Amino acid sequence: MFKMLSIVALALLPVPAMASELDPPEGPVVLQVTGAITATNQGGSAAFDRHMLEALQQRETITSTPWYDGKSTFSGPLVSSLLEAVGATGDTAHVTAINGYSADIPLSDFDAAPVILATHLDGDELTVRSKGPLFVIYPFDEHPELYNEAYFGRSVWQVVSIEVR
Amino acid sequence: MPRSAETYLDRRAGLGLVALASITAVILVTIVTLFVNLNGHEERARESVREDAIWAAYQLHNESARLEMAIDDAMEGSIEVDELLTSYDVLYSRTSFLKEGQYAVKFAGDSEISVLSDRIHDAIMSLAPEFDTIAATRGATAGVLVSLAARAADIRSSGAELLIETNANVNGSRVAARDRAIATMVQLAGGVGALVVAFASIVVLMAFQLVANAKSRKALQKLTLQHEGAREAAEEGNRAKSAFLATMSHEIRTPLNGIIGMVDLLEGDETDDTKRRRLATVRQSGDILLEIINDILDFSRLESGGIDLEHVSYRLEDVVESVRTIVTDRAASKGLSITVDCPPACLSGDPARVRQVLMNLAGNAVKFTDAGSVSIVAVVEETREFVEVVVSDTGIGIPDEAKDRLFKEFSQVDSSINRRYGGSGLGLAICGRLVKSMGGEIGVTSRPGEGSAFWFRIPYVQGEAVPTTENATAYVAPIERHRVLVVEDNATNRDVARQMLERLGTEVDVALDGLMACDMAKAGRYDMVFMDMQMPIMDGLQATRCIRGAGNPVAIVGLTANAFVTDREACLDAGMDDFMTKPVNRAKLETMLRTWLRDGPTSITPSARPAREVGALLIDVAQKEALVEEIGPDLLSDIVSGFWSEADKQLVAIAGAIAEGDRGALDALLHTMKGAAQTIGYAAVAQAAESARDQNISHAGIGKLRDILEATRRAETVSRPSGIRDTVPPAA
Repeated sequence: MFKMLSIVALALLPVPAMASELDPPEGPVVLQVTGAITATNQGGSAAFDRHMLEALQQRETITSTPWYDGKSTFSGPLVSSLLEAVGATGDTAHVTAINGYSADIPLSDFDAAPVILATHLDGDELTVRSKGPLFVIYPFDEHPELYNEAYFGRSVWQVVSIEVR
Repeated sequence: MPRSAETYLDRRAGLGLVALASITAVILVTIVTLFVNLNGHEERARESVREDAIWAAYQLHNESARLEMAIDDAMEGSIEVDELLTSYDVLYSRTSFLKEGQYAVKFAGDSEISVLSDRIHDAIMSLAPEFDTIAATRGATAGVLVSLAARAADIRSSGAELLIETNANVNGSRVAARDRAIATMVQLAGGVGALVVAFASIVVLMAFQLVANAKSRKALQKLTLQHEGAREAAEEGNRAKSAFLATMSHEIRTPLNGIIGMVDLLEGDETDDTKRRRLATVRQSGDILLEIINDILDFSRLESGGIDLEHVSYRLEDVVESVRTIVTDRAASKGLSITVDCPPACLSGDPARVRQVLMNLAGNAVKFTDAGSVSIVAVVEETREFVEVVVSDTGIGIPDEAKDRLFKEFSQVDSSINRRYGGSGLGLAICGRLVKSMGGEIGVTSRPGEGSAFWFRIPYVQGEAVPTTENATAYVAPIERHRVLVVEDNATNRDVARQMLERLGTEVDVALDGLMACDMAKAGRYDMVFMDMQMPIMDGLQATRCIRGAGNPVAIVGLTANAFVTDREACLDAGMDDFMTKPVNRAKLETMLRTWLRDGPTSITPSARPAREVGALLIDVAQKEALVEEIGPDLLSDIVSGFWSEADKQLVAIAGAIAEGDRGALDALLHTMKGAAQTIGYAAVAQAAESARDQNISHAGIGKLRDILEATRRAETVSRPSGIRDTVPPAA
């Protein structure tokens, strides 16, 4: 009887409470998430290795982009899934690339469309030489209204860190 | 001229509007196209590519500078190997923009940029093996780093050059794009200007058209008024023409009436044979003249489209019979026999017009036949669609080539016909038109020398049953001693009528106009009134209404100068009992007297009104109809014919018996006549024969019997019994 009650109590625990117990990264860190988040694993930030990113909800987006000829197939974790995992509470994601380029993305973008942090392009893992390791990809073909410079600017590649504000 | 000019301009304005509308449409399409071009995805994309090409070139230059710095740092040992490798990798990732994608730094047609970007691409790619070795060995010799630094500097310098070239190119493109935009703007402005002009023109043209429309509407109204005026004028003219015709009809016929009437009287008085012949010639000439005038008036009425066809019910046999009655005298005078065959047929239509046609054909038949017979045969077609009447004669006939001309106006077979037979040559033309207006047709078959058969057929329209007119004419009384009033303003005509009536044995009073007649008739002393139509002070119609208004039932017969349908209708509407056309002659007057004087003379037995018993029943209609039912019309007709062929012989025999004092033979003869007369319904004859047997008969008594026989024969002729086919011998 007591055992059953404890299971029910466990089931009723809020999700952020569970997310706060983010596992520490085991492999090389590819992404640092900082700022207004509730789940962390490295001081005040959440560090993700490739394995942790692969554990998030994945999506495959086939779309044409301004940077490649024809259609390309991108795959990787949904940004919304990542933000959930870190318990993001702000309204903007400040995304920064290796070379210091950065863009502010409203968090509402990730609810409006399934935006991913692409880890693969046409089945190949993205490296720095191929604009990896992470590339913010909007589903342009599914949402033609996104195909403009504002969203091209938010499509940061060689992403290394995200600060939730 | 103004109207046609307006119409022309109006049409021009209409065409202009259509053209302007087309032009406007074209301009609109052009403007829309220009606008789309100006704001098109393509132009925006081009612009975007230009901006990003500069950005890409800038970033390339930037990253190459960073690599150069990273190599310098590596030579000093102040950075990690990974940092150096990342610098190269970031630069490497930029190379793709030199080759592919929307932001590729490539400009078609600019070979300098292409060469430069290819060179940078190849230079960056060529560094890969060295950096891969550094990555593998986790370190690099100073010599390698020096070499890499030199190559990186080279790449940076090329990158700077690419940035400058790209910027210059993009600036050129911007200028070109701006020029294009300005050109498009100018075109757009031109298009909008043209559109404004077109719209303005449309507004102006529409305004013009509205004005033109208003003008033509006014013109149309004016024209309508003019037409209205013209129509009224034409109608006025037509009315004037009709009035002229009516006047002519009256004015010509009135004196002619006088001439013919007086000659008629003179002829009766004249004992000298030569003078009588001459008078007869004058009278005949007058008749012919009258006939021609009638024809011409008739024809001009037909020409002016004024055929007023009546639609009344009538009996075809009555019409045929009336024609036969009229032509019988003429036929008899030429020794011709007339046969008639007409089934009982109740039709609806204009009996007067049918009679006119038939009269004309029968008259012609008699006119052009010197010996033999004339027959009138009417047949209702089995389909009951048409009634056909054929008038055949044994006359001179008509040559084939003349048949076509026959029904044309003023054409006779040849001019000698006119000289020999007279006539206006209008008769058949009138017949043709009348028949045609009744929806029928007319024609002739003929053989010269053997005779002709003229026929006409008119649509069979069933009429309502017409009551037999026999009862109306069945009573007869001696004409003598009746009092008759003649109302006539023309002294000659009045004189003619008075003298003729006096000769017929009536007592005659005259009135000079309607008012006078009305006063005189009030006393109720007259048995009959002959009333002229057109008179001063009060015309015939008014006078008739006046007499009828006083409750006087006296028989009134109108005298009309013409036979217009409207005139006849007016007569009957006013309360007249009958009408007769002028000129009056003795036969017409006598027929009228016998028709309408059913009662005894008022002057003798004024208190005995109605004095029908005074007059004998001339023909016992009931008896005759019973006989028809019993033995059939054909046998009765044979019996009737037999009676009349015997009647004259019997009169001679009766006269002989009286002269010889043979009372037995006389009684037997009278008895035989009485029996025969009774059988066929000749009541008056039977009565006269019976009373002659009773009285001490004398020559005078025979005279009375003869008169009654004559009256009966006339009554039989005037109103022929229905369905009886018989042959009445010509008047003796």
